[in-house]
Amino acid sequence: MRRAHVFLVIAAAAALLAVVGPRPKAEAATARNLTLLYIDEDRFRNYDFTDRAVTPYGVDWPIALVFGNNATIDRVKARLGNEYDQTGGPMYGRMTDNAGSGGVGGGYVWDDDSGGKTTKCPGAPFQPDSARHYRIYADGDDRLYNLAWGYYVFGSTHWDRWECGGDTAWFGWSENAEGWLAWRWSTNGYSAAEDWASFYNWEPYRVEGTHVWENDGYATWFWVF
Amino acid sequence: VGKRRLRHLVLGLLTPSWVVAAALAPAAATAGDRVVFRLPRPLQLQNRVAFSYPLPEGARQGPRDWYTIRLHYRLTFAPDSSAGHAWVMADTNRRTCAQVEYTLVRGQRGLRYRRTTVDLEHGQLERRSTSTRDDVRFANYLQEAGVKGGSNELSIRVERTRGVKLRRLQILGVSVVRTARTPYPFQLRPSLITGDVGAGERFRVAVELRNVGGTPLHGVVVREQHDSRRLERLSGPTVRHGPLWETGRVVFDFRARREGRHRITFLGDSDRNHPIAVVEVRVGGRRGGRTTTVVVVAALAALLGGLAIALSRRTG
Repeated sequence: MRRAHVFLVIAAAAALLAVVGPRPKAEAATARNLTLLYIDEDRFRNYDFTDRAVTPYGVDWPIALVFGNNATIDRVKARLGNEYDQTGGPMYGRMTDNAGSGGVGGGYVWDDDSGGKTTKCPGAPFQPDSARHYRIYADGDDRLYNLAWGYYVFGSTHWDRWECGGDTAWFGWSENAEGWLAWRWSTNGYSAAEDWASFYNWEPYRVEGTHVWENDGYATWFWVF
Repeated sequence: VGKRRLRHLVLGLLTPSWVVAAALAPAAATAGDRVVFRLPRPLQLQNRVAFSYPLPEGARQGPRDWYTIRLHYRLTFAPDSSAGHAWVMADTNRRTCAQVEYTLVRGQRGLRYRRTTVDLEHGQLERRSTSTRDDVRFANYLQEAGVKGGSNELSIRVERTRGVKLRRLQILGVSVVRTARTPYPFQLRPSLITGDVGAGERFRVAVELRNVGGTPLHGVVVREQHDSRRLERLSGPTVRHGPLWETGRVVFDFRARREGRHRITFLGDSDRNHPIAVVEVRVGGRRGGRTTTVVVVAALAALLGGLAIALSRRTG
C-alpha cells in the first residue's frame, strides 16, 4: 500500500508539473558583442532576443547555426525530429532578407521560434535532468535566399538543465550544444562544418544569473539538400 | 513562425490558373538575354530528372553576366492526400535555385494548401488555395556556386512528407538564361567631400545613389553606422530619398573625435535590394589645436614684450 501511495504522489506531482509546465525560461542576459551580420545584402543580428527589442541587455543566446543551400524551417525540423522532437518557449530573431519584403525601415522583421528540444521538461519526475534545445529563424516564408548561401535559416542552441525541478535550474553551454547538434545532423546522414565562420559573438565562460555563457564565436554550417 | 510581411496573393477557388501564372510570371526578357539551356519537351516528373549543359570557360555569377532559372510546372495533388509538406525544387551543380514549398492541411472542406516561394526577382510570394491544382512560373538567380565554366548539371526534383500524394506533376518548361540584368540595381558609392580631416574637425561624406535597373526604385533610405567613440554624427542618422530613377545624392555630417582610421558603414534600403558600402576616413592630428597654441604663445610673447618695454622705459 505504501508503495502505491508513493507512486500516486509521484504521479500527482508529475501531473501537476505537466499542467503547470516548466519554470520560467532563462532570464534575459547581457551580450558582450551584439552586432549586425551581413551576407550579400541580407542582415541579421548575431544573438536572439527574449523579446521583440534589439538591446544587448535582453538577449537569449548567440547565433551559432546556419542551415543552408536548400533549407526551410520545416525541412530542418523534419531532419532533426528523431531526437529534437519536443518544443520549448519562444525567442526572437531579427533579420532583413534582400529577397524579402523591402522598403522603408529596411524590411527588418522579427521571427519567433520555440525550436526543437530533446526533452520537454528536464528535471521533471521520470524525465532526464537536461535537454538540448535549438531555435531557428527566417522571415515570413520560413527561409531566406541569397547567392552565397542559397535558401537558409539561422539559429541558436543551448542546454536546459533542471528546468522543471530537481535542483537549481541553469541554461547555457551553447558551444557544447552546437557540437551535439552537428553530431546529430551528421549521424542522420547530412554534412556539417563545425566552427565554419566567425559570427563575432564570442562569449567566454561566465555565469550571469541562470545563464551560463560559453561560445567560441564561430558558427556551424549545416548542409541541406 | 513569426508575423509575416508577405505580399499576399490570396486567391479564391474560382480564380483561373492563368491569373496565378501571370502574377508569378518572371520578369520580361531584356535585349541581350541568352538561353543557355532549354528543356527539349514537357515531361512528367516522378522524383528527379537531371540534364547537363555547357557554359563557357570562366563563366561565373556576376558582376557582368548573371545566370537565372525559369521554371514552369503544373501540379495536381491527389484528393485523398494527407496533410504535410511537398517541395518542388531545382538545383544547378547541387546548389538549389528554385524551392517551392507546399503546406497541405486537411479540413472539413477537404484539402487546402499554402504555397510559398522566395527569389531575387519577386521577393516573397504566397498563395493559399482550396484547389488541388497549381500552375507555377518561377524565376530566380542561380547561386554563385551553381555556375561554373564547362559542364553544369541542372536537376529538378520533388519531395514530399509521408502521406502526401501527387496525382500529377508536369514540367512544362525549364530554362537557364544568361542576362545583363543585375539583381542588385540599387548601388551606393560613399566618398569624403572634405580633404584632410584633423581631430576635432567637421567633415562631410556624400553618398551617391545609383539605380542601374531601368525601373524606378521606391522606399529608398540610407542610414549610417559608426563608432561613436571615434566619430560624432552631426546630421540625422537616416536620409530618405524619393523615387530613384537613375542617380541621387545624400550627405552626412560628422566631427572626428580622435586621430586614426575610422570606418563608416552606409546601409541602403529600397524595394529591390539593400546595398552596403563602407568609407574609411583618415583623421590626422589636432590641427586646429596647434594653430590655437601658436596664437596663444604669440599673444603671450607680445604681452611680455610690451611689459618689458614699458618697464625699461620707466626704469630708464
